[in-house]
Amino acid sequence: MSAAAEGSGPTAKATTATDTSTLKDQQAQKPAAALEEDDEFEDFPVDDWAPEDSEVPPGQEGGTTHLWEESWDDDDTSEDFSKQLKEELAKVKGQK
Amino acid sequence: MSPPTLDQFLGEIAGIIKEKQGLRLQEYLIYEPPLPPLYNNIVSEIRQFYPPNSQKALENKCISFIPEYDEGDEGGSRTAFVMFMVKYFSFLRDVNIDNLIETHDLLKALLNQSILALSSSIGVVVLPTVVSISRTLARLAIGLDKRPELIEHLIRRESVVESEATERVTLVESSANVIREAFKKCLSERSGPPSGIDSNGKPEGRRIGIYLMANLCLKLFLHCRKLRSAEQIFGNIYQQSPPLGLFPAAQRVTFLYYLGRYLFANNHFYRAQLALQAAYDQCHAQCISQRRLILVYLTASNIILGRFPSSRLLQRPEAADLGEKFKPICEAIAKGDLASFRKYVDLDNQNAEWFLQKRILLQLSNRCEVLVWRSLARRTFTLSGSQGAVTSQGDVTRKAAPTLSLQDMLTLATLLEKRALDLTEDTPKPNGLTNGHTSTQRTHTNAIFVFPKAQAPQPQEADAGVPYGYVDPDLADAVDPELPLLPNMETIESIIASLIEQGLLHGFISHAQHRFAITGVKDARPVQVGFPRVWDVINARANTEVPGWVKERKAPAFGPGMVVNLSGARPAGAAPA
Repeated sequence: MSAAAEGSGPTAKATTATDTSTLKDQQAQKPAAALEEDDEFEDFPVDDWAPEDSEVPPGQEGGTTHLWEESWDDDDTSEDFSKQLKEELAKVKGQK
Repeated sequence: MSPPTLDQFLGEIAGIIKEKQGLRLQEYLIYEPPLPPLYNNIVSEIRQFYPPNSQKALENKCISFIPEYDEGDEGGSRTAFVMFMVKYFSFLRDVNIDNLIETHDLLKALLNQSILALSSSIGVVVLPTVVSISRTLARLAIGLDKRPELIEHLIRRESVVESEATERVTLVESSANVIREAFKKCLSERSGPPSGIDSNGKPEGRRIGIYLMANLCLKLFLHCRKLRSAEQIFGNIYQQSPPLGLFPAAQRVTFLYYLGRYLFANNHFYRAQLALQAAYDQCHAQCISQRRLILVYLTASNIILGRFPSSRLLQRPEAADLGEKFKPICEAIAKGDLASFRKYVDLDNQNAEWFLQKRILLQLSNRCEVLVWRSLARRTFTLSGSQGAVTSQGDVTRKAAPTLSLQDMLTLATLLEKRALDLTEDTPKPNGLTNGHTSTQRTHTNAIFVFPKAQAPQPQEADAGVPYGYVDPDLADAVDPELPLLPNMETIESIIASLIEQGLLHGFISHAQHRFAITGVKDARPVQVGFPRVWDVINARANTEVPGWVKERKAPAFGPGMVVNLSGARPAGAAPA
């Protein structure tokens, strides 16, 4: 029994290796679908990892806030866009 | 004479079953070509000894090797596994990978049989094999779906079925439905304590496969756009699953990504943001492709909720070129630049195809417009608003509320809408996605049905089935709004009223004076009181519970299949002891 098990051990590995190569072949055959390919959520190469392997330290709920701007109101009234709006307001008021 | 390799193989399978080695069973049951030489021997022996019409003999062969073991909770355990082995050998014998459709059908049948074996007491041993077959089936189904020339006849067959008033099921969906059975088997595991968690804090028994199977189903349902089917998966999980946190990181991140996509597609942007942020935070730092896809939807959700990606975030490797897609929209929102905003979310914009392909264009266009109007109101106030003046009459000091002239806002909105139209008026449409209307011309939703009789459209070759000049009776008296629609005072008042209602403006409208007045200013800056931060407003009233995401152990609710222990109950009408 053990002899056959040894025999099938490496062959099983060999199949896994060819699996990925056939997958690559399939992808290579479909350049037209390349755009859509991007849309698929790929399988992860490993099943589990430690929280440290994800960039943001665990248990730091507030640690993510620097990634997002919540105060973005633009108070600059001297740039072109504001100037144009001011001119338009003055123009329309002048017509009345 | 007996087939030597097959006998040896079955003998080893029997040993694996006895020792309950699930991963080894999966490694042994190779089904994807090219097969190793040993398996080719098995195939030729099956072809020689058990040709297609000798099912019973093959069955007896398997029975003679597979040991008896305790019947499972759903019965028929040995039979189910034996039948699975028979199916496996038939698959090896019959499969012809030159015919991918047939391979798909055979693989689906094999999966079906393995799921039946999953119900038995050795279900956990079969689980890795079920997961492996499910993965291959999912990959094959999506692969086939991308090659319409191969499934053309199936589509035709489906359309015949459709005319018989049966719901059309695509190849991808039919595969997903089979995998969903495996998911249900994992979820309905009854072994161990009611919490479904063993003494090591791990999911008990088949429950270990819940998210593996769910994620495969969700991948397929999202691919074929069956959100309702995805909803069932989330609903089942929410009711029955052990907490998501007990499962491996890859499964958690993948699940939270699909949950976020589903919530986004259903306009639950706050919940989507919660799920996607958790997925992003837990995703492996080196898995850039996954991080990027999560970030696309996380960014879209956050912009809609009034949170913009920081430059620090956009510098990360997974955010490459996301800045140039999202930043212009954020800048237009911040400025209240309606014209630029309309340009960026227009179908003619260079990024439109990308936004469409990601399925976020409509949401960005519809939801962010609200934020642009808020900023435009704010800008009007900073440019021409009355800051409120203190007046004294004798002993009485009056403080007039800061106000904004709706007339001024109308002036600016008109200017910007005209600008948006000027940009596109002479541009021919490269595609037929807008019904022939220039996309920035905002028409009545039902405009395609509203034709005054005199201007009824000429019948077109494609629309020959529609009666000439047909006008829906409900709309017979409707007037086609003049195009293009420019805002008027009613539009502006409605928009301001809507913004107040949503909490994005703080104050009231004086209809008589056409002014918006900011209330509750006291000592603060009027602009801060009248125009609170969008994220603060949305975040304050949001609930952080996300249906579908099991965060902690719940006391099991009563429901079908629940066992209620009544040993301590009093008979009806009996007095309390």
